Amino acid sequence: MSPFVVLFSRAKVTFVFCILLFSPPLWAELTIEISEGYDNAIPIAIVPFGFETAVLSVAVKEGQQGLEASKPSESKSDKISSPPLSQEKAPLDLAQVVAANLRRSGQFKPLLNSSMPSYPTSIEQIEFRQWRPLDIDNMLIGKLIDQGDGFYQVDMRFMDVLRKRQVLGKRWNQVPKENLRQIAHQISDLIYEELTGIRGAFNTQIAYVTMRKKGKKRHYTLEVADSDGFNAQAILKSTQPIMSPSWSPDGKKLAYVSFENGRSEVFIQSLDGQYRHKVASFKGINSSPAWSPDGKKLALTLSKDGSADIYIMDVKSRKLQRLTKRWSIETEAIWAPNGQSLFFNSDRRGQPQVFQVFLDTLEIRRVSFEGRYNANPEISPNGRYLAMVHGQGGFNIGLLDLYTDEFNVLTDTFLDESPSFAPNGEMILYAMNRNGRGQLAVVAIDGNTSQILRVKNGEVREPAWGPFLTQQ
Amino acid sequence: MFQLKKIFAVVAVASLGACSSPPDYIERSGEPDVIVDTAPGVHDGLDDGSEGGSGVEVLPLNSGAQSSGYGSTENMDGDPMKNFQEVEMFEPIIYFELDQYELTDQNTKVVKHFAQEMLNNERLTVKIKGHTDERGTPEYNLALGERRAKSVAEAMMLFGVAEPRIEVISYGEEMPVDAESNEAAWQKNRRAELEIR
Repeated sequence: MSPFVVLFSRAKVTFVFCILLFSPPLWAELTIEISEGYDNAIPIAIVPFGFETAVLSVAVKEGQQGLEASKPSESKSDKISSPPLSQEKAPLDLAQVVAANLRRSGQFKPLLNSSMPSYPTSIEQIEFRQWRPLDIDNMLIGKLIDQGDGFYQVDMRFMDVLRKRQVLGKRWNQVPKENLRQIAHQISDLIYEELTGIRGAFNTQIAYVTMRKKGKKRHYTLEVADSDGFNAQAILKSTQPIMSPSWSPDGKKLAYVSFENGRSEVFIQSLDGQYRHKVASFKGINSSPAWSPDGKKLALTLSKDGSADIYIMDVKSRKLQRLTKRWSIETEAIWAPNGQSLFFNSDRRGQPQVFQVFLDTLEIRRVSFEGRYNANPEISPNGRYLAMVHGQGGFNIGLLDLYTDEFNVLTDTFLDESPSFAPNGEMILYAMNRNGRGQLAVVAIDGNTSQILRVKNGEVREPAWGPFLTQQ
Repeated sequence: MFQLKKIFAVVAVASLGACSSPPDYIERSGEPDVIVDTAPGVHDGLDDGSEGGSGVEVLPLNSGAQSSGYGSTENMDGDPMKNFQEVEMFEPIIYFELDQYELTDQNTKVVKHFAQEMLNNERLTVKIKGHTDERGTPEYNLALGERRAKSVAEAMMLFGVAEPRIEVISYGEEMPVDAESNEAAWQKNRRAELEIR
């Protein structure tokens, strides 16, 4: 397994990179991280979970802290000095998923398994004094229990090492095997929110386009995966290009551009596969769909009236409202979170720059002033930050603070494009080019940490981060 | 089934053959043993070989080495090259510089050629497909590709092709001919293709 030489984000000179190997059944995924600015990352121990098989005759007592749900067939309590051997038989290494999530956020520095003094899987097995010298304030321990018939129980306990007590304890019962990864994401979210005060975005999905060449033919797919790039599923397969997936606010539909009929047209597809509608097929370009925050409208780029302009379509009635009327190119519109204005890209000044149009007055103001090329605006969920593709020599992701007008370039990779905020606003997913092929990367909004996600063989582009899956 | 017409520029440089040094003129005395190379059609004052004595064969020069220019069929009287009907051929692709969509003089010649083809056959229609290289954002490039295609369409219309016969489609950066990320590849990808049928 050869280590990749990975590019690093700007601020720091020293960097650390490590390679984690995931081996889920379908394909080998490599997640490579570059982490800089580890000075601020919180050390944390995510201890490998124990794996046990439930004995069916034992009564399950639920809701009581400290009680085992089952008697393990082999007692592991005297074998805690090495990682549980049964990990190899476990359907999923939950701790590894949680550690990778937390590391990717840029806010945490999980301890390597080999550095752990022991591998407790229950509270009574923890010797807190072992962990303090490692500067660990918090640790996660847990158990995965096979309940038979493909169902599992997951126990987790999140501990305060200093105060030697439990901070969080949760149990999930009768979890189907295929949902175990989702539980790991939920655990990650709980820890993240507990320690940062910000809602975690690990239990979310991303959409993106892949392209693979088979001989002379190109094959495109539109896929949806977990936020870490795993569990990918194709929801559309085509021999013609696909572009610009956009999530509906309820997370149930995707709007996108497809060239399946020989030209650009906009479709809406429900993720449950129930329906797929073509919503824009006017003369010229039909592209750049963006859902309004209330889910009732779609901003679109249409060139049917002469040149590419921004229109708003009412999804139900398909009625169109024209927002811009210019000979220049107007495209890449997105909605401000309050639904009262849109940001978009216009080259009315010669080169692409970001503008804002207010829906009540139709007043337009320019928003980007750094550099000769600013395009593809995306707004953070709290409305404060605008990410954009910034062209200055190369193309990187820039971040504009709309409150302070401060502008920073976040990335240092090659041909960066398509930024997309996590629903908690803390990370940005984007596409870049590495070793001659398109890949996805995640960067924390302070620019200090970034990670490459290689979700598939072939090219990956046009990522879009989906909304929170459940109401909080 | 539709056939894409591909016409390639004829490389008109004929091989010059062995460049022999000009022959020495030897005064005729007795048996002429020299072959006089003259450019056909140019009379140098010597007798026409056909009138010469036995044993002499005057051969006109076959190669184009002494003709006064390629590509033009106009300035040679009696020049055998006039029979080849050399015509300039074009690829139905117009290339653009970075961020450009206006037509250069050379591009305009190309468009004019195909416009002429359209005018010569009323049944032909043309699909103009605009493309960009991969730099910049995909959606902006989709619009830029359309601008390039429209630029070509407008030129065609100026040359007399009626608008309903022209369809404009943009593929932006989605269908490169060369997927490499270097100048040479990007140059090939910034184009408008003509599909005439």
